Amino acid sequence: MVFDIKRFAVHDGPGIRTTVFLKGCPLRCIWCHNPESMLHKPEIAFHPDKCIHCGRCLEVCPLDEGRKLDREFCTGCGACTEVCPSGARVLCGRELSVDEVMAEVVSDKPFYDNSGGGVTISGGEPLAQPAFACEILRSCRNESIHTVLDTTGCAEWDVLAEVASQADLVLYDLKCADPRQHYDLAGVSNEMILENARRLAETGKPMIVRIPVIPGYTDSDENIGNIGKFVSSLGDSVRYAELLSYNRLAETKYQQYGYSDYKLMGLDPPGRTELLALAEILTSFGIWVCLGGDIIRK
Amino acid sequence: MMNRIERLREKMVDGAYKAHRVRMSLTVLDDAEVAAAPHVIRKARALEKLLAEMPVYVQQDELIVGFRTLFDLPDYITSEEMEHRNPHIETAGRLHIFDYVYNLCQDGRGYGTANGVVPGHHNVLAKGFNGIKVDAGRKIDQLLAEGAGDESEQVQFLKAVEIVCDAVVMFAARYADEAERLAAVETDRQRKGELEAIAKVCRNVPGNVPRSFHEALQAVFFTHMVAWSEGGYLVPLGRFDQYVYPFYKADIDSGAITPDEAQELLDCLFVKFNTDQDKTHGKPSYYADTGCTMVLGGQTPAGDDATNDVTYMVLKGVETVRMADPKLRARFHTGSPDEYVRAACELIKQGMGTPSIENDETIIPALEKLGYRTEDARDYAIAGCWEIITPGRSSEKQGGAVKMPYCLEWVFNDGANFISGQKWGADTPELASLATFDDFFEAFRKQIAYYVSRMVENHNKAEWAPMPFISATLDDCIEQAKDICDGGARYNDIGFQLTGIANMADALLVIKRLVYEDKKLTLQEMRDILISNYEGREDLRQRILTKFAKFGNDDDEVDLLAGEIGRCFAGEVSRHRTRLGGHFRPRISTGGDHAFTKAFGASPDGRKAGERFAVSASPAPGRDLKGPTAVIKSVAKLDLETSNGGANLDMMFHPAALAGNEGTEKLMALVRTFVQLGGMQLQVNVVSNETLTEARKHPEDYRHLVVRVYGFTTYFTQLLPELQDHLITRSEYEYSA
Repeated sequence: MVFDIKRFAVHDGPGIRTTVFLKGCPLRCIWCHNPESMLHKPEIAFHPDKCIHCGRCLEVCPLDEGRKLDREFCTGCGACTEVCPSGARVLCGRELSVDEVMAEVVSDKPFYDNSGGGVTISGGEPLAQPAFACEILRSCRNESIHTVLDTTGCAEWDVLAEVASQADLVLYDLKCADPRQHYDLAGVSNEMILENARRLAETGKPMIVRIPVIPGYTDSDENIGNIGKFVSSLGDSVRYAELLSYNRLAETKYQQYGYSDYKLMGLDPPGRTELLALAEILTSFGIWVCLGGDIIRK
Repeated sequence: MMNRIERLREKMVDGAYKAHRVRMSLTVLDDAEVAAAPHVIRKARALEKLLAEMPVYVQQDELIVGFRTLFDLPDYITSEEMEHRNPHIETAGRLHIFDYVYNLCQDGRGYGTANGVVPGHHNVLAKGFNGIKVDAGRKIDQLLAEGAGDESEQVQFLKAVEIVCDAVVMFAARYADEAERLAAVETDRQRKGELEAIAKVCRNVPGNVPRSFHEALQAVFFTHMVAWSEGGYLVPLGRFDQYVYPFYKADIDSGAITPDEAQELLDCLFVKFNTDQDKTHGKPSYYADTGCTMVLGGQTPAGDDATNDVTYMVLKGVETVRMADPKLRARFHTGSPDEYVRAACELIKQGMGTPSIENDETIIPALEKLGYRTEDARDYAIAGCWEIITPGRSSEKQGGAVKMPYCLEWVFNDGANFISGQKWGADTPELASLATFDDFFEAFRKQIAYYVSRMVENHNKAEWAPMPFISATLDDCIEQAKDICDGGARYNDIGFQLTGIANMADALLVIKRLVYEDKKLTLQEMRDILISNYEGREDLRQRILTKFAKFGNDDDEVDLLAGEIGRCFAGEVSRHRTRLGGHFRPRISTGGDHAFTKAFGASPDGRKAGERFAVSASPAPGRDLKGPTAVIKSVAKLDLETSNGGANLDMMFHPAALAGNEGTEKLMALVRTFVQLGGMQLQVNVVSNETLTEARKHPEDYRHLVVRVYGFTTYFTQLLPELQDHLITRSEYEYSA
């Protein structure tokens, strides 16, 4: 199940890319910037500013009497989004065939070729749909398109190994070094994630480690230091680590998908100085760091 | 402490130099001999008098000199001529529809003057005006020997050329005198030396061939400013890096100048180009419409890569000076060096809207198909905003816009406009008789044909004023002994621009689908809905906006419809010839017409009455939702080689999407792919906070503005208002980090 296909994705690996976002994720990071990616089922996004109050959505809703969007009962059938004239209701999450995905992603091949770009499969967590993810990546390779897997690493090793084998590069998220803290912030412990990272690195697969910098949560010197220490132990497979600055842009999405309990509402992103200081911690472990599109030398 | 360029820039912004501007009531008609002379001679005498009387003013810190302190030419039009002023009232711009003949500039009797003609700087630098005068004299002797009368038009034109050549040399000498006078009283030793150098420069150019890079730049500036003084408008600069490079190289090779000194001179010139922005019609800002366009890179007439050291100096100079002019147009071809593409992309990222990109791979074949010599096609430059012309060989005129949305209104409304009810269009078949979509398209084509032919008719009745000064600089006018107004240039074309191609493609798809395929509506019903401005049919309008394919999303069906419209327009425009035997050239660019839409009713693409149209070849505002790669692919599907006047795509990016070295490389790849896929002209805007503020106020025009921060991608206007404000207030760098 796919929730979005974005062309001209410029932050998901090298060059100009198309990112295929798969729906469903085992993690529940409190800062998740794609809340619509969490559940492995179709959902309805509601944009109140676009609603012209024509009432058609209520007329076609198969639930009793047609209620206002009730996420507890909504099956995501999409009937309301079909009739919504203004795009106030949008269906998020479609079962697409590999061919349908490929038809969209091959369109930008000339841009991939000129930029060293390609296709990134992201999520949610693509490892939650391993067969589909593998098939897309394999089809891309058949079209000579560079492939990237963007993953939390939260899956059985065999699953990761299988999907990663079809990717030319893996973007591997590391959020917290401490298992307890990881459990508190992301809803799962990180033992399997770290172990998988170690095993993947051993295979020699090119990796870029991505670290979300969430003020007050992941941005302590200690956490970044521990991650740095871990990453340096992975050896040459890791090309560089990238610091992803928190941004507030997801606040809108939480509203559109009916989440009223987003804990980070109003949290300010880290400043440039703070990010540079964190980058310095990482470079002290002999790691190359990427910040804002520029590589900082170790 | 500020350096020289910063000080000059301050002075230019401050505008104190404007105090030196004067008004004088001058005439050349008080001299009986002049008063009795042919018009072209009187005009030359008027320019001569202007240049003799214009107060000279050398500003502190300047190295390149010259201010236009007197603007109006002395009276040279006789009262008899005034009585018989341009009799073709329908060409005078009163109706603002078929009569957009003179575009922006006319002389006192309503005759058009040169607008966007690139002076032959290469000739001025190769011969000097003294050399040009010698050529004119030789040609006079030849004509007289062949039996032409002294009073013949040809001889009179050449005599006018001799007058203006002498006049500009005299004008430069007045600056030499002034610099000497100032040097004599100057106490600062360094400035005294500079003033003495300026005096020497102005004593030599533009009369003679420049002996240095400094002299070449001064010759270019004098030529540029006098072209304006003659009544020229939006005077472009052509291929500056090509014609000044030999002088740069000679000075560097001989050790006469260092690269830093050369850069300083260049920067001085660039500040100078910003002097008279208040004398054009745009508002003085980065977007002031001065037509001060400079072309870089591309191919040489022989087909080699043309990039040189001056190309890079220009890019650097524009970044240093940070003023509206010169406006850069970077020519790219598949063999353009990476270093050049990178330098251009780095400058684009500065957010000044410059340089825009011209694709040799599409433009050169388009010009060749039009019949241009290959070496001329490869030597093209840009005039005005996007007009593709050959420098020093073209007298191109801008013929105004074919506002295509009218054509669609006329099909629906028996030739009458929706809003005014005036019947401007041709008779059209009963709607009920248009049984197939092809019938409908044919009715649309006939309205376009009618619109174009009315404009052509008026153009070919138009009167043009002689321009002996700019004619003197062109390649062919002297040999042909003809002013550009009589066809002295090699190419005498007129460009027509198409307004609203994307809206028309979107609209035709809706008609095709709703009326002819699904039969949900009849044409009469559609007509009533449009005339009522979708009153009571907001649901239908929203459905059209959200559920139908739109141009700019890499959707073949609607993109190919746009291609069909473009071809149809090109076909109608190209079939006509100008009075001077030139071509009418189709161009997909709108000038400002996309914004002047009060007179237009609703259109079938969901656009309500009065709303803006798409800019140039770009998608309609806010309708390209698949990002820049899809837009480029859509535009490349237009049959652009038929649009031989140009076709411009405008794109907008938030700085975060292009941040860092990685961002530069992605922009380079985007541009390279644009060139490879066969786009034509590309304007990349990296938006400022000012633009974001506008987007906040007018979200309907900015729906396509992408904000991308790592994995998170969204459209600016879809953010909560509070977050939009947040983005505006954060500095771009923080967001890219």
